Amino acid sequence: MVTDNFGHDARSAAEDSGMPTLRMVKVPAQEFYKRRISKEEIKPVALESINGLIDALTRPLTTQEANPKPKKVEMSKAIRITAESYELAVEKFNQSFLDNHWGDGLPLIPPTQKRVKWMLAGTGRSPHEVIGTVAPKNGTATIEKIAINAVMAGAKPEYLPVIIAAMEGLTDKNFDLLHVATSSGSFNLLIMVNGPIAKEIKMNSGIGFLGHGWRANNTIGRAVRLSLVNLGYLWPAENDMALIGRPSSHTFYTFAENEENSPWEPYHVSFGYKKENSCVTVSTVGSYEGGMTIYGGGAVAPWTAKSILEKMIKDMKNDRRIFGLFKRGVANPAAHPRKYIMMLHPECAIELQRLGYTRESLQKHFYESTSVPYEDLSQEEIKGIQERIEASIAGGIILADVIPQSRIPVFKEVLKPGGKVPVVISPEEIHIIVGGGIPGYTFSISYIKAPYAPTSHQTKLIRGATLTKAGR
Amino acid sequence: MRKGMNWLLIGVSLLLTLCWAGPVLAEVTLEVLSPRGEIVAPPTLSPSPRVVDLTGKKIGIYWNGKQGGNNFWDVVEELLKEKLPTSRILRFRGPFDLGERLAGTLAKECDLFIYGVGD
Repeated sequence: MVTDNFGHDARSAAEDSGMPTLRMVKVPAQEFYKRRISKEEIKPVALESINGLIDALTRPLTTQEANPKPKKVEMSKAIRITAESYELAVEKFNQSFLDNHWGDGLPLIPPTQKRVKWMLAGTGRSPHEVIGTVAPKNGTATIEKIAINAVMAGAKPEYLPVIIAAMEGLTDKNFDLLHVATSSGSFNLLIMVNGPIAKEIKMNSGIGFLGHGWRANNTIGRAVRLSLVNLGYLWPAENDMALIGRPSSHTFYTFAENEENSPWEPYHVSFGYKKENSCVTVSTVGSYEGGMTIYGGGAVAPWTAKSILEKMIKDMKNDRRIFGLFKRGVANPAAHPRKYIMMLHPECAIELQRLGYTRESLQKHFYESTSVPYEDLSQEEIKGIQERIEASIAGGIILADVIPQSRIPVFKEVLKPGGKVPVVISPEEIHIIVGGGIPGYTFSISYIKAPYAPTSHQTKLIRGATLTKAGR
Repeated sequence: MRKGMNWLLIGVSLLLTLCWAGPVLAEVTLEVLSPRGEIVAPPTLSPSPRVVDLTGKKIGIYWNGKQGGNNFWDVVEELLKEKLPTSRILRFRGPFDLGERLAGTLAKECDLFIYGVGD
């Protein structure tokens, strides 16, 4: 059973799972969501659907239903568009691509063979190399297809290796692309570039770093957006069910870490990469719930690094969702533990470094300062975390609620008098990034633990570049 | 004189014909590559044959736990019990992706089941 506004999404998911003739009974979304508050309220909706439900369960399958044929997707290599002038042909191309759901609503650059070849000159990798499949419909991402989408986005060939690395992160089997691409929760993507390539391709990491006006930032993000549309067959209100859309959805939050003004090693170096390596980090972040919270900085009011740190810790500590809200079999977004992106503006990071913090010790400080003494937990919270531990061991619960096996001994150990119970799964779930200019703002963006795959955060090495000194 | 007039008339006629026909327009063809990724369709599965009569059957209801869906399914359970007093309704809940273990349990314990995802 499904609400009618999710009917297309459900049918699409059934096709993707090899069951195109799965029977579905729809209930009107307009009635269901507002009436589900109580049994009395929802009863008319159930009454309306009960006969349809029994019919779907008992009416013999038709020959067509019993012998489903896979939905064939016609693939044309080249598309010819004819018009009276070049301008009209470009207009016709844009309208046709948008009508087919192959665009993003902004004008596209026509991906002619010549222009795609030009784009492919940015990488030494074979155009036929497959880097993975793209959720939700699992279209194959080849280097050539990514290049076609990069052309449409207005990218330059020297950006292509960055775009490919971002797509490698998103198509990694461990990365939960399905949730960020399709969830009604309007989650969003952060795409961060580290290493010398960022400067070579002129990425913005200073004032306005999440905004418009920088071709590299904007078209790298847009190429990823178009690749998700065309390789994942993603479309709003069909299988991308973001109810309020996704902020900055044409380009995502694409930027470079401000390595120049950071007091610490670049972010990717903390993952074992060399400073001279160039990397892309993709990470799912919140938009409204879990969206940006500013803790200080700016040009208007004075601030201290200590006061910013205290405010961040206070907010994290108040988020006690890991303890008491979990209940087996009940989907409750407010019960999913969090991942944090802590975006420090350079001055704040420099001050924290003067106070003796490294990136690693700051992660640890957040983790330890926000842990709650066992004695301060209510009986309900103790029961909640115990049940979460048990369910994590037994399995059969959504991944967003699970404490990974490697962390269960840690939680068991502290769940007793004298122990301090963490509000986040591990210090590694708190990512410290230096972003923005001088002055800047320090803010956090948080996300829940990924629900459909092990992680929502991936860092990938940029390689194969031919037009830049870095990323080769 | 008459011959000259004839040539003039022919010339004017040709000019008028050309004007009426309008300028000859060239066509521009743009050949672009498809941006779509190839989909390798998964093998298709047929839904299970229907149970013609639900009398005395074990009917499973699976709910993904999204809040308020339980109210809907509680009413559906009551209505099914009214219509089919000899049938048993078994309730299950878990993530939207059943996983093999839970799917196996449902297949083992129920004659048929309804997958209700709540949205």
